[in-house]
Amino acid sequence: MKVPKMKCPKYTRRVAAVASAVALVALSGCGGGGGPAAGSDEKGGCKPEDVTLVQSGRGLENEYYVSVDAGAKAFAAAKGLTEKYQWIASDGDSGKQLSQIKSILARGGECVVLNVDPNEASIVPSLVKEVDKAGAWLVTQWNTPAGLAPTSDNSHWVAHMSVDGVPQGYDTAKALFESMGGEGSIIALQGILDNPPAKERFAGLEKALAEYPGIKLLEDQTAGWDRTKGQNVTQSLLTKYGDKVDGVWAASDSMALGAVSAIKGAGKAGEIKVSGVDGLKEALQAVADPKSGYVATTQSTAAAQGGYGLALGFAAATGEIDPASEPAERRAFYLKPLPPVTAKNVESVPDPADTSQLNFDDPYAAAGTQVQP
Amino acid sequence: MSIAPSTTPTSTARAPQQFSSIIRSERVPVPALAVLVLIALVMLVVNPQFLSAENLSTLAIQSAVPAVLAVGLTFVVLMGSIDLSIEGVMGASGMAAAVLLLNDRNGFDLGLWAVVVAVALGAGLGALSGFSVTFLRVPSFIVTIGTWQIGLGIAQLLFAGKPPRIADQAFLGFALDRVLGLPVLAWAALVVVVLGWWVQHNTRFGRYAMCVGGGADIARLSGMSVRRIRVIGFILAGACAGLAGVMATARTGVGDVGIGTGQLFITIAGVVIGGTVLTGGRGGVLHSVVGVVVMAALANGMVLAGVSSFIQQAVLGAIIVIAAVVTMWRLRSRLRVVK
Repeated sequence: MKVPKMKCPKYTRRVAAVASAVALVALSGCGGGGGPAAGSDEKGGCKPEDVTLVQSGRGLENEYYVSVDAGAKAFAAAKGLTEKYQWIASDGDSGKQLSQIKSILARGGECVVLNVDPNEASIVPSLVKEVDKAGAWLVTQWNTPAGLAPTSDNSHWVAHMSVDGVPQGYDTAKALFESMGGEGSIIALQGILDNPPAKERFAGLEKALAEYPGIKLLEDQTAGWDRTKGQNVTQSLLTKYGDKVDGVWAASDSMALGAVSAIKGAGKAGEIKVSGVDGLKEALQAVADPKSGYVATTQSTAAAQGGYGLALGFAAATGEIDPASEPAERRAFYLKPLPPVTAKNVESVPDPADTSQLNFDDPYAAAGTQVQP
Repeated sequence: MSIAPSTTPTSTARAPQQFSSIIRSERVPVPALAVLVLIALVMLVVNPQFLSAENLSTLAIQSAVPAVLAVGLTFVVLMGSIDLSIEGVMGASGMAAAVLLLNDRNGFDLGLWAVVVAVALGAGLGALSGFSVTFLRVPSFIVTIGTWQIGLGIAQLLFAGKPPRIADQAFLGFALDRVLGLPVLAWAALVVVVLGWWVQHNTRFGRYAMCVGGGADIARLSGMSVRRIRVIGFILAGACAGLAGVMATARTGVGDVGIGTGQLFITIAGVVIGGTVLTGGRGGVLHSVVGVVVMAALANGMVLAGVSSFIQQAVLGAIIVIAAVVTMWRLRSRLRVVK
């Protein structure tokens, strides 16, 4: 990647050489690349070819982020900025993510577009502050502290995007219950309990349970979004409830796939129905195979989050949109809900990393309802 | 009955003495076993299913991977070092096995040779740690963080954005097919444990490893090749982590970079609860294995007992602290400084 030109030549070398670039830049008084301190309500004025695109997430060992990266790359390619696109991995470390972003902004921030999946909600305020200081453009995904959203007096936090877990949990639960004939008992595997998606998806399950009086929830347990844990917990629950279990609802595909292995180990493959959320490739393959017992998952939102996230930031940086003047439902929004994946439609669901459905002419193409602060 | 104390003890008198010597002996992990019995007793009241044959076999499967890890880690810990690279090595070896077995990504179909390659890869990463510790004199704590990342890097390289699904039915059968009521994986873990126990007690390496942990300078002055012993220890640990990665992959049936996630915590906690002291020289393979079984029994027991997910983690933490207090009580008396 080409390093944007520094405006403090005296320090350029040292800044490049020394790891603590951020500290030096701050000392030299040319914060954020030496441009005029960007006013908060100023419209972006970057030439499209000057824009640097940065996508930050956990790591490419995770299929979800591979698809996010694919969507982000597709946008970069659409604007001819492939050479100026950069993926940075936080590896699940908030401190690392923040310092990576700081050092990118230290090289000159006005035309940097960041699409960030914050490792934790709590680092969002610091992110916003850094971005403001540098005059860069930030779009956040999934995590933001309760009550904190982009406001009308600040253009640089362009938007916050998330996926509403309630319809996801509800739709997959409904498909699961239907496959069981509306009768029977299930167990539920939850994500990390204080994560908003875990709470929302479980709320969706509870909503569906209320509509199906014939279905009984025997027990819910957390499996921490983890496949091996999902397998172990399911094994233990199958021991505990034996033949009473007719279905497993899981808040993510990884845990659901773990449950499928456990069910196979218990010799009940196909008898006990399973549903997940996320649209992992492996889950799609399982849904397509009637013998697996995997009856439902959701469509992946990863490519849309990567592609539209950067598209929004880019539109703001080039002055195509003025985020501050956009209504609240375009500043913090859920993606439009997609129908769940079941055996009926699995053949027509695109690959999670497929980017051909993305329409970058309208950066708000995927915007659904407002995230209530 | 008034037998003078000077007479030779009869066989009946010797039995309790032998018993108490076993209790006091450090060859048998008595406190950890006591914790295990305690868990079983509590569960007998809460949910007797815990001791059903079905659940015991579930426990055996769930302990298999951490038990293999614990065997390898024990040798490193006995020498006073630590191996934090477990999760990375597991990722690398698991992924290597997945892409070399019959899978949906490439044309390889090496069968059991894939397992051999994967274990060798683990041993290689272990050797890298071992040589860095002994010849470059970098603390194992730092080196193994490095090899952890190298392992994850290798795994990520092999992953290439798409998880390889294993189609080799014989390999997948290791986790599914049962022999005498237990899956092949559990038997494999048992073999590793027995081998580890044998190496520790009946080979020169095993005995020397203990001495090195007790005092490396004394061991060196006694003419032992401390460096060689350390390197072998790390290679063993790497090979065990490699095998554990393959076993975990057999359970899920798909190559996963994060296959080892969470195992480091379970294994180290198990090793310490078992009574293998982190400063080296005390404990053993059997201790560590009982320790990880305690960890697996806790996780399984809490689900069977219906402990709410919201407080499970806190309960687990509290039980670990209590178990550590119980198992290490004796060690505290002997002028040992606990850091």
